[in-house]
Amino acid sequence: MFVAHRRALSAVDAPIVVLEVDEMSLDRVASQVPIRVLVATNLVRDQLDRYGETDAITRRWRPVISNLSAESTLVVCADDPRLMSLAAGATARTQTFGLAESPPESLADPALTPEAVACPVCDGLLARRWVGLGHLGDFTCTHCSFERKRPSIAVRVGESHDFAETHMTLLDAASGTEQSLTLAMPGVSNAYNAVAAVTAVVALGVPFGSAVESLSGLRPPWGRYERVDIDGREVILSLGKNPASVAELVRIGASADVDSVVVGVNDAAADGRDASWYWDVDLAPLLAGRQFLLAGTRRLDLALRLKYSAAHARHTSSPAASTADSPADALTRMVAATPPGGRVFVVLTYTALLELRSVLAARMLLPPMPA
Amino acid sequence: MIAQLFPERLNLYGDAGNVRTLVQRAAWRGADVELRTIHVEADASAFLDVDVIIAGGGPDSDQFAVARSLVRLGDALGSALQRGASLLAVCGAFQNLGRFYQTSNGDRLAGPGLLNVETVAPKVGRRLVGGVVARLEPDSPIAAFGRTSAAAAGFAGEENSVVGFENHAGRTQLGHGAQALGRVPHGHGNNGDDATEGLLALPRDDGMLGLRVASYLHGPLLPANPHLADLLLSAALARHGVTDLIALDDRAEWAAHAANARRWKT
Repeated sequence: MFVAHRRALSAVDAPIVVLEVDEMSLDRVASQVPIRVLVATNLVRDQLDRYGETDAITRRWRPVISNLSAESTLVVCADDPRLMSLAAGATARTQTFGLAESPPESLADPALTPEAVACPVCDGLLARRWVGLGHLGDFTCTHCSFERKRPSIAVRVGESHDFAETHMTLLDAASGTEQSLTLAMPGVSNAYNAVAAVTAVVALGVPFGSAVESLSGLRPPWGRYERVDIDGREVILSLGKNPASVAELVRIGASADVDSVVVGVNDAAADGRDASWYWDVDLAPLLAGRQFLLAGTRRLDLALRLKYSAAHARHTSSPAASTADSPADALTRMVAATPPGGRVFVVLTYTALLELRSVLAARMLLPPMPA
Repeated sequence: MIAQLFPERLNLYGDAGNVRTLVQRAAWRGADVELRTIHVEADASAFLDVDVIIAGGGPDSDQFAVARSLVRLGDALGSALQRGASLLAVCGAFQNLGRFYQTSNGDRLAGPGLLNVETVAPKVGRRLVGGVVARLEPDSPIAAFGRTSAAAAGFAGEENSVVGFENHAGRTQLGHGAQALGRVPHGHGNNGDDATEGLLALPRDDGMLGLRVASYLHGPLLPANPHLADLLLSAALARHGVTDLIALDDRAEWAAHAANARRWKT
């Protein structure tokens, strides 16, 4: 599929081209494009029905990473044991990024079932001194000597303020310098993204200080805590597509000032046809004490998930969760039920978010999607 | 006592929801449930007082570690089943608790043979992935556990099937005399050839006192199949002198079941 775009790419007149590459396309892209910097942010399970298990992706990536030329740079997350085992086989220069220390209590990971507990070297069990997000953290094998190493560039995450921003400090091990940053996006996942981006451009020769500085003007892209005004209510649109991303949205949304919530799960190919993963994350902290509606093609599975949430454990019969036919219906009803000046938090899978955005664009509430 | 087997290895597909469901449905009936996690490094005594053992699916690569642990703990698990404990094995556990599991590399991992099946993952060949509606065998005792609640919820007839989502490379063949959990008019089932899905071994079926249910279905399996959950629960509670399960309001369960059955029948 990528071949079709190769000619278009060769016509681009720019010194640096940045490609976001789907995990299952990396090998094909790498065979057609010379890579100066390869950034691997993390390897979490996503769309199991389409891509198979993370092990299958690891097998696919291994030759790509070991075949990177010695002149190129591999940038990987130091907190991801799978990626670090892949990086061990690289001849390319390797730079790592990660958290400097455990995130603050308010951002602690609520994931119910952590992943990647098997050591990728000896298959023993991995232990973690602290967890950053999902299976990312300060890991050490209980059987062999495989353990996390200090990142080339690390980030110390401070408190998040509502949905608005996160304060953090980036530390460059090579120069021993540190620089603070206020990022206009909340949470540990965005701190990981920020430090990954800084590490990548530093590898291209940009000075550490200006790399960090350049992120201070960043605004959220579509579907990532995107804010829309609807009838005087602030609506926040977020993509929640796997247990790791939803767990992050739950912890940020739970502590933020929110009046009502819409959660939607579709099961088209791009969402993952298997919705089982919602059982590995608990929505209760996000929904407790707030009005909410469930939407999407799998809304009844979501309602059932909620019935068996720990928050309902003491009741002999749980109140049935309310559902709406479409994400747009759910949002309309929640906006109406929210006082002016109030806030609606919307968490949707990929196609549910596209569906809602196209309705909002048709109502001129959002600009149309970029092509 | 409900025990979750090897959660650190067998937790990939939301299967922890099966444990959550049994614990919750027991609690709603006023039963005092204790939950135990049995880790890969546990010792045999962990199985002494368990009533239900639940094991889920894990990544293919973890099956070596699971197989090694089962070599060590298989006897203890087998003794618990001999004494009347029940077992629910989904996906990876279904494969690992049979007589053997042959990986796509041709390595054969011996299993404890607690389920009368053999599994081979082909060297080449697609994974069997998709929604499944499995019709229960006409004489299956499972349907009886859902007949009243499905009718009360307005979904009469739904109790004659189980629904879920399969995603497996291994092809499982039932051994001589083994009974399937259901038949798959919709989906691949155990091997994509003989229309069987899962395995159901009733108490004393093959000389073993315990009930064994095995399946490839995630979803997870039990929440949207409350009749199957209650079959397992009733076997567990019977060991504590409870012979009748109080009916629950299962509208949410049957609504999800019916919606998925419709979705996956097309």
